[in-house]
Amino acid sequence: MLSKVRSFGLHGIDGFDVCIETDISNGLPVLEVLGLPDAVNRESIKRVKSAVKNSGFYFSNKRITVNMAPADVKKEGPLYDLPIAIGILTASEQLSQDKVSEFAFIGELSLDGIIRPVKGIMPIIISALSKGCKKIVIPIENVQEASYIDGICSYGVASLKEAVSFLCGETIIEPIKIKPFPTSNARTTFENDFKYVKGQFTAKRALEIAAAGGHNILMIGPPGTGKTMLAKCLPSILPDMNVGEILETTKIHSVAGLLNSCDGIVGVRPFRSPHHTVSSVALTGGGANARPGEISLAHNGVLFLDELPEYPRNVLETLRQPLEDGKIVISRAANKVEYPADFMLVASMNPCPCGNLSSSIKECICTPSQIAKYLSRLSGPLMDRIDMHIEVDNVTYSDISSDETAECSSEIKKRVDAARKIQTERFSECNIYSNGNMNSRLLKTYCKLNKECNEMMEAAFDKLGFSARGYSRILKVARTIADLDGKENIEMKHIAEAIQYRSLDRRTGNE
Amino acid sequence: MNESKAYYWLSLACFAPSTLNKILEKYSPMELWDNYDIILNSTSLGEKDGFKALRQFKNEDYLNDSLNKLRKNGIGIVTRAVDKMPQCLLQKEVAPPAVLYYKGDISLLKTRCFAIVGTRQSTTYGEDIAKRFASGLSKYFTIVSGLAMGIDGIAQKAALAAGGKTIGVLGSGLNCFTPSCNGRLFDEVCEKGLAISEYPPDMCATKYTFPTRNRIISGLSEGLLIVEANAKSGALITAELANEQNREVYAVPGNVDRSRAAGTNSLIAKGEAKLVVEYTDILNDLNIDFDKNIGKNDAVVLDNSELMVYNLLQNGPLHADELCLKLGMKIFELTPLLTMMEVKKIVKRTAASTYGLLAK
Repeated sequence: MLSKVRSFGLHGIDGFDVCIETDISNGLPVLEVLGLPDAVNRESIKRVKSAVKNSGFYFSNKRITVNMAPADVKKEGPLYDLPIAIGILTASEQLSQDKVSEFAFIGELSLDGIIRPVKGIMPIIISALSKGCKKIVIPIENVQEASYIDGICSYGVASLKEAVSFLCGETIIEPIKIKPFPTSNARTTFENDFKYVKGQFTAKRALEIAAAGGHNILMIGPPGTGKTMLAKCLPSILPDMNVGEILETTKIHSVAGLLNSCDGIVGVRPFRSPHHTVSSVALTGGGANARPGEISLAHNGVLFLDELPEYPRNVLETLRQPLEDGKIVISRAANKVEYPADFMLVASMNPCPCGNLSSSIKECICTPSQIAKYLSRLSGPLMDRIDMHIEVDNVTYSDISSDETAECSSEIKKRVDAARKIQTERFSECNIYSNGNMNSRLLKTYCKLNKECNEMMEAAFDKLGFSARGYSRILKVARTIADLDGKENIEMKHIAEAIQYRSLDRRTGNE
Repeated sequence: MNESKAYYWLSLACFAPSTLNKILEKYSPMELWDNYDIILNSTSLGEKDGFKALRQFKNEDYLNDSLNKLRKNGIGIVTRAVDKMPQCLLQKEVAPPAVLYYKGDISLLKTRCFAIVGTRQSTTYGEDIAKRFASGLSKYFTIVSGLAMGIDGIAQKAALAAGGKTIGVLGSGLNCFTPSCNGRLFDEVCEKGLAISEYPPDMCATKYTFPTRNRIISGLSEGLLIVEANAKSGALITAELANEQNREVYAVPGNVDRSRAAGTNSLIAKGEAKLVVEYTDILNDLNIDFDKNIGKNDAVVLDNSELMVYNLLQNGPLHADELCLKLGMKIFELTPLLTMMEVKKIVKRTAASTYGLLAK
């Protein structure tokens, strides 16, 4: 007999319809899986056999043919175990096809029939919803992820036995209760807080601006000046995520299998800090089974690259396109997937190999050619995509000894949130969330300069030896500073401040 | 065959300057040309490889050809035989080269020259000083230096930027310029000033050619200024040579804690260099008339808060954090202020987030 079971596969961060067709016919007891299964999938049939038997059902000893349609798309991962088991049980008439047709199924089976969690439930349920699926059976451990999606009934089941008795009407399982999205940052305490950072006013202010506008930022300074500490404090002032952002980020983390099973959602902006030994595939994503890389996991959050010049050049250059487009398209001979990768790049580096070039305390011992070689590890096009560069120096004694307590992160976050709210409203029809993502058209619309500001810009280029490449970056940063100030138009002081955050643009020796 | 060509022929042996001058004390170039075989076979000079090698060039057609080739490449030569070679270079102490290859305006050799040299690993302090002195002195002198990284290049750049003239003395052939990072400056110097070298155009620099050419830098100049030099800097060799050549040597003192100032400070301490703090000190010392009002900028109008920053910075550069604390300002109020003052050329960034007054 023939049975059909609906399921979903995963391509990138989108689900697609998969129909599992099972035919049991007379012949030698052979099990065949068709439809481009991968290694995990081919093994799946063995797991299914044991799971069916160990759950107390009868496993037909006739010829079984399983086809996963569409036949020309590769099927990856163990999420088809449950639908195949249901298909075989239906084909062997232990379940009714009518009842099974109401549902879609996702789940991995263990040999004893327990249903194990799978990756990518959130994007699958979202696509199931859009494809008109009304009911879906998923592993019980994945219910948290599913609970945020309204419009579809998800049923969490713990074992194959439970699933079958549910389908036969012997057990009643309630669909998962829908939870609202968290409206504000659920986490209020952070390990690192700006109140523990004394001094470093410039750096803190720059990070506040960067967080508010989603600007890429590079911190340059001698070792031991607290660049890493500052970066680690950054998550505590990042603005709350809106629903769209939460959904996008959760989808990616769901696909990567990194979701925390008690939250089931990424409600806090991710902070990813891959070590400088990272490979380019680990950073951008890809591999034999395409997986999102660090840049996609940092989507809507922060990608922190400590000691930037230590990263291999080919790895850094892969960041160029995602920094521009906010997504990464991974093309391989067999398939092509697209992952969103709209992250805020935070990087730190020393000004020279010995690290003391810009220090006001220690003396640099590097030769000019050493410094040039060190800096040449960073390409111009990459540096072009970084909005702000600031120099961080040793904290002065008066900073450490001052009694003044530093402002705590939650205070800064309030300002950041307010500025981000202005931006969200401004860009409500533009499909972007922050100033950092403005294209040149939006730049023209929202960053108009009055005469005074224009003169200031001109003077800066003229007298301070700025290069033209920084012009639009300064405008974007000035826009964010104006937003933090609650001003509708960019004023002279905003421009003047933004100029200070372009320390690498200044030509030296040419005044 | 003329004397000039004979000098050119002799230069192809690439003798060390002292050897060359010893030879020339004994024989004139024409004697060497005419009696080459006799001298080669009968004197100790014949044992020198360089002298032996001269045989392959001892062909007038070859010499004419190679001179034509040089001319086509825009390279001219000045020999001791011609008037264009300045007298100051011909002094015995200088150990003058037989031939100078040049690109650019050769008449600059006869102008009043002043050398500015220093470390290749310059600090922003040294660079500022070099710029200030070079642009000031370039109104009275042609600035001579070695087109090296650091102080040398910066001084020459500043001289050109100030509309002055400059001579670059290379430690390599004119076609093999190093360091490549100053390539553009070299081209500019060839175009607007003069680049000279005692080495054949296709000869690459070696460890020894740089110290050797230093005698030409000091030899060409009336005086020499050392801006920044550490204890082992090549600039100290130039200072020593300049003293031997009876040129005036000046040095700008530096912070005693900094290794880059050790060389200049010790020169001053040993009395080998005169201490100068402004370029007008040099003009005074060399008895050059100058307008006493130059260098005094027009007064800049400062508003209240700018004045507060100005007053604080008068005791030396301060970190932005300290400025904030002392002024009781928030950083986002201070930063725009500093930018404005930078644009007005009152303050400059001296190190990371550290600001100091821009010296007048």
